[in-house]
Amino acid sequence: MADSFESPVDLADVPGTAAPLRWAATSLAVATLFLLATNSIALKSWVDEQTPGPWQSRAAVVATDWHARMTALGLATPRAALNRLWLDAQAQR
Amino acid sequence: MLFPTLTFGIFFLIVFALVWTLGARDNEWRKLLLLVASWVFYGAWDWRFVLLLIASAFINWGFARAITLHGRQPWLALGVIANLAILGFFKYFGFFLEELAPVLLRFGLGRDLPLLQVVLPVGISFFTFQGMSYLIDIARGKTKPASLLDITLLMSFFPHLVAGPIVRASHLVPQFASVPKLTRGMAAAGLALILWGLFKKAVVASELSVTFVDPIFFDPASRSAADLLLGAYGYAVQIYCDFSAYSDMAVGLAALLGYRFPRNFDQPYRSESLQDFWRRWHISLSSWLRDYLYISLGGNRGGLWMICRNLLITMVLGGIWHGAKWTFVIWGALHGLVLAAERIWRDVKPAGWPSLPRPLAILLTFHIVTLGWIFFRAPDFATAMAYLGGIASLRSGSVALTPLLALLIVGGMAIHFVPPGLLPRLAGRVARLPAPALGLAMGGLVLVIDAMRFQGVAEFIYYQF
Repeated sequence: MADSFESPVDLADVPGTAAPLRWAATSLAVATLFLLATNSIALKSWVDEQTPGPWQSRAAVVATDWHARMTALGLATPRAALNRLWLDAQAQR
Repeated sequence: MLFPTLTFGIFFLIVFALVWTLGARDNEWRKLLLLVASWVFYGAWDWRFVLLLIASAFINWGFARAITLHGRQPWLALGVIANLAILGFFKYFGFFLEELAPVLLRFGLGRDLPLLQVVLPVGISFFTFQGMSYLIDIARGKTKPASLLDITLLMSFFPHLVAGPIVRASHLVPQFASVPKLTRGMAAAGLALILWGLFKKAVVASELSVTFVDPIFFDPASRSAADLLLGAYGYAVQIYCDFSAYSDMAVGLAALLGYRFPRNFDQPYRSESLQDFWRRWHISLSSWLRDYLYISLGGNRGGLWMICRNLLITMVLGGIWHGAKWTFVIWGALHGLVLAAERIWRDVKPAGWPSLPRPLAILLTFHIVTLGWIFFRAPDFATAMAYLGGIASLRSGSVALTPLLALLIVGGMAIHFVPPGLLPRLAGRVARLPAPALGLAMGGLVLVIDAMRFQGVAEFIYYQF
């Protein structure tokens, strides 16, 4: 016997839109790829924080190389610029 | 494993892929996958406590069967006692010994008291309350007994496991009956909630906590009155943005897996009374306390003084639920007393007397809640009193508030006054976007949030409960 309750995700479905699972999965995949390219510093930092070991050291080489490539392509610039703006705002008295 | 981390992001993407591929056709496999994933999530803190979680689920399943087969007495009482014993040992045993030791020492009896440091399992208050409500609902005939797999998954399900919302069996177990159907509206609302929660936690709550609130509460005696007052406002915003962020992300993550969780927050700082506040703050706990404690104590029956007594007991126990500290008791008692006072005033107020104008009522309620937060946040009673004494002293001195922090506090308050339907409307628009456009928009928003976030992620405040 189900209890009726209100949930914040109770939205009427959008007419004329099919395959919601494919839609959600594609969105997540695109967002992941976008972040791999533009936020490579996060991946590098995360790998650096893992427990040292053979897997971690190999992954660190790959992540560092990936970040260097993305930086060279200019894809890491927006994140770095935004972060500088934020740090400036933090420093203001 | 904290929600706003890359570790959790990778974990969730793997779980999402597995449950919608391997678990798409067979519901039992899907539930097993979710169960194992939940144990991996919980085991990331401490593997030993996974066994406690499993044992707790077995206990509640067993008592539920006993209630169904043999009647509520004595099985309901034993089941509730078993849950309380688990909670009591892990959460209150150390506190009890600490309080008992000086008393026994006074009588020369305390020398052999065991020195026991009990590690608190994350989220224990949430899953034991969930277990108790399940047994009481079975006894009251409000829910049907669940299978062992369903009850174990109900108690272990990782989105709500460590900090709620407290999802009742009658909410979730019926949803476990078949493979859920994901709709675009549900997925869009889930994604919007995850991003919104990420912003509130990683940007607002973390920044306020680390750079402003924590240092002020660490040493209130050295702070100016203005700093202390702003620190209290800062904590009011921080705890809202922290806890509601967890709930938003929990609801959003569950939605992406196809499950509906109840609403846990509803713009609490626009409440016009404390009664109204508890209809908007941590709704799953306040409704739990109402349904399983307040009503069991007699609820609104027995006249005004019995109602006041029930309110006070319920809120003091609600305070103790948060932790074994006198400051939580005082926090609960303050809420109970004000709720009782509101109730008395409603009954004795002469007819024709005007009510407080709405903005004044909101302001008054917010300040009562903020007063309570000082006790809630302070590490001990002495610090809380030093904090309040510092405000009352009107001590002058420098103010640590920066323009950015002021913006975050004002912004955190402003959230409460946006139209309540804004997020659903936004999610409705998101649902119409093509997937690649939505993916780019989400990626862009996460990038902005990550660039603004404080270095490292502080644990959610409610993890300690």
